[in-house]
Amino acid sequence: MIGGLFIYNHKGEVLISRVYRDDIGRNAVDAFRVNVIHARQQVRSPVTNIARTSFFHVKRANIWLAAVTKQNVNAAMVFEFLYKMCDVMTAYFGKISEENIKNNFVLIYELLDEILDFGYPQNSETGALKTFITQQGIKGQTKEEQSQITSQVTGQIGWRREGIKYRRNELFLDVLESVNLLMSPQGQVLSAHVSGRVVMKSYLSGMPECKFGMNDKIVIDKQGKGGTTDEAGKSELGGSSGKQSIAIDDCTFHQCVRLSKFDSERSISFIPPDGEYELMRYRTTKDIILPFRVIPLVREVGRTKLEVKVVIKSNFKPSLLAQKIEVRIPTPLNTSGVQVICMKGKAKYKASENAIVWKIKRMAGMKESQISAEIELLPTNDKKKWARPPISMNFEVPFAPSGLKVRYLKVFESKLNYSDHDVIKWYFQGSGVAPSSYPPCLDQSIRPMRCD
Amino acid sequence: MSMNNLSYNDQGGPDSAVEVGQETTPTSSTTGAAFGLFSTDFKKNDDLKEMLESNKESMKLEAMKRIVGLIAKGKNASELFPAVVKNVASKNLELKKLVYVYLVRYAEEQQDLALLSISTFQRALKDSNQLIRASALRVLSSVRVPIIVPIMMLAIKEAATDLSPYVRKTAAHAIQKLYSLDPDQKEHLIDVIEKLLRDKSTLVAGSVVMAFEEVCPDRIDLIHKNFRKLCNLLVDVEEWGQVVIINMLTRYARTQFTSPWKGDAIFEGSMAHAFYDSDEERKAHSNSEPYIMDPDHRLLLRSTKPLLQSRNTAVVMSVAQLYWHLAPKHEVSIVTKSLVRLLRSHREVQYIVLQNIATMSIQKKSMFEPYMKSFYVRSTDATHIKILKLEILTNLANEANISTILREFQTYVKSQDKVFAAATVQAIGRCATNITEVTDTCLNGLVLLLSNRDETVVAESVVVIKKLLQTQPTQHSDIIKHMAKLFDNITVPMARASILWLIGEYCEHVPKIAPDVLRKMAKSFTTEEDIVKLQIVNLAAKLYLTNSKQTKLLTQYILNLGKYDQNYDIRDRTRFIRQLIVPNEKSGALAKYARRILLAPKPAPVLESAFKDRDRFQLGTLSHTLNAKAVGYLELSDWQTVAPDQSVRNVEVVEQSKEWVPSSAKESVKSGDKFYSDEEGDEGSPCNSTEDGKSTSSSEASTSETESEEESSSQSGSGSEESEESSSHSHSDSSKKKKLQQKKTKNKGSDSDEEDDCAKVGVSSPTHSSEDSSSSSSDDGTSHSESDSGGHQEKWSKAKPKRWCKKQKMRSRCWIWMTSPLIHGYPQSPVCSLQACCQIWMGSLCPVPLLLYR
Repeated sequence: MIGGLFIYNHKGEVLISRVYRDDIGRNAVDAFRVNVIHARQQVRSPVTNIARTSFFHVKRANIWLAAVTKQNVNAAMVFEFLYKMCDVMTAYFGKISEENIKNNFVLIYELLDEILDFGYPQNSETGALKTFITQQGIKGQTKEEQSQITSQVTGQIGWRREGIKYRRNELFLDVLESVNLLMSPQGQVLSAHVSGRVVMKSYLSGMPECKFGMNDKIVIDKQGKGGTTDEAGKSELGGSSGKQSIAIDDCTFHQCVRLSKFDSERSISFIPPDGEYELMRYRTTKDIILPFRVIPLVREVGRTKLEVKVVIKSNFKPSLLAQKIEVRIPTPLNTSGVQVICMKGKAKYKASENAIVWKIKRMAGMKESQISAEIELLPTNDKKKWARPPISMNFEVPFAPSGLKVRYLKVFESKLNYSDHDVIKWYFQGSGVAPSSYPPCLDQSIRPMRCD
Repeated sequence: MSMNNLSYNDQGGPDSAVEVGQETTPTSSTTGAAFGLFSTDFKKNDDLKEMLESNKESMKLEAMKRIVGLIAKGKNASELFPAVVKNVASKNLELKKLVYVYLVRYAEEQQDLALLSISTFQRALKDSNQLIRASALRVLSSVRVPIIVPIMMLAIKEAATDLSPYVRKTAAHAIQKLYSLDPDQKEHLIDVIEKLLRDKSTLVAGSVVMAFEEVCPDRIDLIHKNFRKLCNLLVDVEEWGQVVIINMLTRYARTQFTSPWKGDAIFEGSMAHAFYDSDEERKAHSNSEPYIMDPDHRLLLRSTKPLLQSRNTAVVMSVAQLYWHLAPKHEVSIVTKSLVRLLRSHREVQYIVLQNIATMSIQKKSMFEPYMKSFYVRSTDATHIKILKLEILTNLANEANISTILREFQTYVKSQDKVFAAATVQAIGRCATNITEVTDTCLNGLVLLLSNRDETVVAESVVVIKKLLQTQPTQHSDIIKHMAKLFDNITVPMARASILWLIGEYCEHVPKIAPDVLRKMAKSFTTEEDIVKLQIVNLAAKLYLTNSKQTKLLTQYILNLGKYDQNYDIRDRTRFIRQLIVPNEKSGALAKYARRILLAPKPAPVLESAFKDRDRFQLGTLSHTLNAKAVGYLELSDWQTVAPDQSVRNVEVVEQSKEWVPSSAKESVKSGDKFYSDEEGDEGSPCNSTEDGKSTSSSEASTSETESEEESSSQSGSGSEESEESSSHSHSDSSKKKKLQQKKTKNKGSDSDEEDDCAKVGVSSPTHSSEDSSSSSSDDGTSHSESDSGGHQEKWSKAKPKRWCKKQKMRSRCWIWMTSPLIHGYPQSPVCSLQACCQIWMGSLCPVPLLLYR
């Protein structure tokens, strides 16, 4: 199990050191610095073994987090824990930076004490931790409040405490998708998949039980056989893509979802945490609608000039409109000046981001638009060629590339006796495309689908 | 200015980060430049003591916060110990917590003073708030003072029976801490673990299994009765606990069930044979009768499956490894999707997952073939990720998809990332040797790469071509000629050496070119790198033997140059070659065989995956990642040849009725243990036990479980306080007899199996009367099988694989090769004697026998 945890700044100075086990000597701190942070050659592997001691490191911005162990641990678990640790720290004091860490020594130390016991990871749910590790200290708490904490920390439902009350019960549901595309340099699509997230914000009183339904193929087929197809739900939310159901390749859920129930009946039921959380993630690979195609052309004119032309084609029904399109074209590091010409929208070179940002307010389906830019480069003696990072694109379109639709979202609360009719629900759906290999990719959009 | 600041001024400066190392020494109050921001803290440190002694809570709190800040920074705050300890009794929770943090850090150094705080903990252990009880136990067990071991032991025992599951969970954690402080307590701790393992709370399950893994991982027998419960609870256990439990159950299942992989037929890939043919016995067994999966085995697989949907990658990974190690071959592919999904996770997790996939893909291509595209390299991947993906793609290559893969590789070769491009060339080479249909295509492609602009790619291509040509030398004199032409333009030493070796090796196919190359090399000999020089000497020797007319003078010239070379390696080699090939009166018998030595047909190198032998480690563990045994690695045992008696897990049914009073339950468990050890000698017939066991399905068992629970409640309702009592109430005097018997076996270790048997039946018979036949059949199974399980147990321990040693031997040989200066090109290798022996080898071998091991 984890024998110790160190946090270093980019220079390799130790910010936090916490040793849990005797087998980790005090010199382990230095070993990691010398062999990894200050190593002459960049160390690529995230697992380093130095003198029979293993270091698992993760780098966030300029900060190194390293877990040390001599035992045979589960490697994935250590990384998972380090990332959890990052999440927890972010939730407490925002960005993980040297400054923030220095200002929160005490807090981090307390956290480390709580989430790692003798090197074993413990409940690291931020919501639960926040109730009893606070920056201000627990002040003026009544006995009741204290016992509430106790029950949350020790209870079965670690993500929600009892006795939450709201005047207005609200529930927000966002479906965010990103399309990942891998294209060959010849422009062939090698593989594409959509990874989506269902993000919820719940402000509900009591201990509600929620049920979420989408047009999952397996469920729809099952119901179809039983003759009880949920026609109403479908027509109500039916979108433009016309697909009845989607085949979900694979999904993961927040801890609150009853996995056993999903496994047996494929229904997603849960007691929601309070506030914002990610209910599920899913992935589909079949029948993906690619809303846009991006065709980049790059020509190198001599050593100090680069000509870039990018064409985007919208690939959906002409009656639909895409909005807030933003294309980000990366430029080489040694760019000295850029001239841009575009027929539609506005384009600007942003030196601080090393990219040309091209914005178009709206664009109808089956249209195309292009931008051309001349990039002047400073001569360098750096022999390394520019790696041509992917072009990324953000937009909002009125359909989900995967075809996912929300069929229902039900809420039951037995004690306070309100049900889904009393809850104000907000659905959003969006889509996007995330970076792929050689060329271009993606986007993010949010469009209100329905509010009732 | 305080003392601290003075010392900072004296010593401070560059070695700011060393403080952590010094933190234990009292003088280490240096603050480095890194903490310059906070050096102001130090001015105020004198007042900390006063603040701690003040009356105001807020002042104390403030002081404690600053002190903990100092600790976190790695500075020494031990002189404040007495002042801090006083506050341990504070009513303020927050303050208390900070004092605990401090105590855990410094108690070991100031043991006497730490003892002052112990009584406070003892009081806190009786607090009405479970949180306070738990944290007191937690700190008490973290204070590493050997004198308080008995107190700790007592506290743990008490907490293990606490009403709050949270406190029991803390007790489970404390077990490991106490064990590391004083391993002599092992026996007592195992008792506590045993008690906690029976706990039904999900909160406790994860922690107690952690303790089990740390303290007594070999006491598999403790798990038997809890196996089904753990499987059923698994979904609801917190995620970190799930990881540990799944891991433990994997090991458990391997010792308890027979292999679901009937024979090797289902197994695909060449690895299959090497992997399992060591135990003939098992194969014979599995072939002889059809395999029926143990219901418990099925239960385990069924209850872990939903966890593939978990958000925690570690959980998904451990379920994947469980399926890999335990599931029937056709079911393993369930995990594929989830693993592919993990590739969207963080970089570091990707790295681990890809490594595991690489190992799996060698043995079971079909699992990942449909997802081949997920392993396409992205330009944004880090190099180590790219190389792993490449590895997997190469493993997945077969006749059907090779053209797609090669097209992908073509793109990769153009990559900016040199290391990756070079690895791609290697991968092409591997595909070429593995799939004969494309060997020629690949070879042509590689020859084209020779005119690539990038030097590393060219060099790598040469090396790979060399290997490929070795497999089919005759028809490729064209390529050799082509490479000879390119020779002048290639500067990478390894590539040059490879070309020279090729020309020398096949000098008969290129009779005209070879002497010319030698002529050129004679000119440039002095400016070449060492590995090239060695190959020049080699080439000269080979040509001298085949074509002495043209090359005699050249060879002598080169040997003379070599004789005065600065590098002793080359001088040695030259001397050796001269004695070997030039006949003179001193040369011994060897010279006669010079030709046969130097021009012996050499075996072609086998291009294989670096992950080939990784499967000897359990997937997902650190050992697998490092490809070396990490401390505490527990070997997965091979499958059982004969199903160990499965009814050991049933015992719960009987046991449960007594569970209310732990003491008696413990006793009966103990007696169960004794049965094993006592009856090793006479073994019951194995077929008997398997038949009996199979008749009980898990579902039946679960119903009978609930029934027995009902029964137990009615029993306890009947008013008896101790279960021993209750059992004797409800059961006839035969159970009393049994108890006597148990004591007997415990004390003397007598082997009165007959009596035991009938006593057992006696116990189960009253249950018959009250319950239906399903539970009774399971009880029968218990009594039968328990008597023969001893024999099996011995087999488990013997079943350790021999394969391990074989692998070890292999490795050590590779090691010699690697240390040879020839391969790594380290001219100053200190291992002279080793060199000598390697050189003889190498003289005839190719220059780079094991590139994959670099």
